[in-house]
Amino acid sequence: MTPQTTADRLNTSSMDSPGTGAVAATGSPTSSATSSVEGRLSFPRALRAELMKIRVLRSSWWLSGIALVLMVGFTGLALLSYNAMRSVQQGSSGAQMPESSDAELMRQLLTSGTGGLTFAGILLGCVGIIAISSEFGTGSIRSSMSAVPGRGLFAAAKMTAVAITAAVVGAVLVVASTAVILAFAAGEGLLGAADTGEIMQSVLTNWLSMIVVTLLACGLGLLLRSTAGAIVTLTMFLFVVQIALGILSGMTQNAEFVQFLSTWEFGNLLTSLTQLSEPTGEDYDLSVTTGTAILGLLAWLAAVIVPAAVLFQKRDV
Amino acid sequence: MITAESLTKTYGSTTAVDDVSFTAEPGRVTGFLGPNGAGKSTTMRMAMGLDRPTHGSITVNGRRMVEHRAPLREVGAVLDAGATHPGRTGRQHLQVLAATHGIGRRRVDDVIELTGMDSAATKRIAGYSLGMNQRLGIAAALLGDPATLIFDEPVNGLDPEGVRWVRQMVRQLAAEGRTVFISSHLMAEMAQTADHLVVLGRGRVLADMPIQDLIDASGEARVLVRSQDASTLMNALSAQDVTLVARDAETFEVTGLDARTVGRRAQDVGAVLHELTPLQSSLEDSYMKLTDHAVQYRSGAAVADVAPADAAAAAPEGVR
Repeated sequence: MTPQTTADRLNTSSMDSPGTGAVAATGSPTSSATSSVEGRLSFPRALRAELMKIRVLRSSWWLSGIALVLMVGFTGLALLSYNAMRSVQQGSSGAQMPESSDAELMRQLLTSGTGGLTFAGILLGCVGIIAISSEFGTGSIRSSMSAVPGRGLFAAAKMTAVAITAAVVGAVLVVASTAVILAFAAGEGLLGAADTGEIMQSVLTNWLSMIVVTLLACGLGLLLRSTAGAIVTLTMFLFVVQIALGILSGMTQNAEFVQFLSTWEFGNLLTSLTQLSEPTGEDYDLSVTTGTAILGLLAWLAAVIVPAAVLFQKRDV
Repeated sequence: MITAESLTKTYGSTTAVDDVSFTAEPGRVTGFLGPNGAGKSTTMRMAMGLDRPTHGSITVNGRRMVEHRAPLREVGAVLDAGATHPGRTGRQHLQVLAATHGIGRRRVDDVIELTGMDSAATKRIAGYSLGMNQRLGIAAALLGDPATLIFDEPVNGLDPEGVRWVRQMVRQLAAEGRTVFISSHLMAEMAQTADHLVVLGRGRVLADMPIQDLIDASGEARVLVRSQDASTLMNALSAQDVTLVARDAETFEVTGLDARTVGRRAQDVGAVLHELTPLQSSLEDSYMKLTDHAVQYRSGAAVADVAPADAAAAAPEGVR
């Protein structure tokens, strides 16, 4: 059976593809130089593909939507409790409780109003986890690797796409939440006492923390390759470790190593990052300065993402 | 062109692919044949850069996968039909792949039309039939108009029409001068598609030869004869190198004579013939003989523990 007769037979066969001749525009391709299709792999293109993957999945939109509802919902709750607090203060006519200054109240509003962040962070984190773990879960990683065989390029494009997604969605969440707080503050007549720099700091640090959490989650997904495993581990990072260390601290009468761990664990650094007041340096205050928090969080990111990337290079897909 | 050199892959103490060397040339369909667990898929995964060889190398168009600057334009692969995200539509799957290389929308439309999946392209992959998944896989493989194509068991689970479509597609791709590397555990399928065969058993190459050579090497032609004077004819045909096997009163099989000779002898003795059919199943037989000792998972009997070297020795002439 020679190739020519096959082609002839194929052209006269009942095959329902009018475009069979278009498989190749050229006679005898032996390398990409003869491929009729133009285009070459590059980082910006791999990144565009990764962004498209996140965008076309329903779960990304669902999770982001729920994160927005949670975030703004928490803001609403915080404002309600503020009202309750104020009425208590006014009821006791300032005798037992010292009246807070307007600037302090504003700061409290900004801090408690963005308290839903941790929960929204988990949901955004899930977007980051699913972006990578679903590739392994569904086997689509094998298609992805046929187009982008370089593991480093693939991981970099994936991480960048997740960071961009977190930045966009995170910005929407933080801005929405802050807008609600400011509107409420205006109604209470507190806006005059608001420090623009502090508002900016609140917006920026909250936004940054969203990106950090989502990237950590994506790193966990790349490391563990399992959606459930990565979500559980993320929850440990955000909540469980903090609680466990709290219990340990009580058991050991606040031993130094527990204090050390409690200061540098991920959740505490994240809280420190978004905190508006400076650390007091007292024993019960575990918070660190914003700059220190950023460095600590970057170290945590590196501690997860570097091993994940190294293993990804080595392991079979 | 695909070139494997001393390719070896071990998982712990298990050797899945053992010192395999072969070349799949452009312009022909190279069949990759072997029982389940012989190492075919592992070899293909290593060619695509999914698995890392423990030893040796496998290159596509002269380079390892990661070294290509436009991988989609070098090689297209259908390794398994499920390598897609069920939440995307077929078109979205193709668009994502195309985006990595900046391949335009028109090419995406082209391959959708080419593989005949038009209406399904806008539906979510979760609802695809096996056949439609297979078409999507082939569409993705063709996206970059690559010089080399790798198909792992492409007709598994397809209906007869789908099998015919894949077979024609594969033949045409080779006729266009491409390298087509296609695996199967069915000799009958390969016999209709491949020009060249690489037979694998227990991770080792048992044969690497043109399919015609394997047919020729498979030994004596058999002829099915149906005659109302069967016994007379059988007497007339009996000779030293001829084997006659009666099937029923009127039917018997001849090994060692071709149909032409049987027909002439029948005329000589005045036997009335109803049927005279050359049998081609010998290809299947020689494949079975070739891989007999290399089958890893055998039903019933205990797993044969014969080294692949013995299997090669038992193989027909011309097989290494």
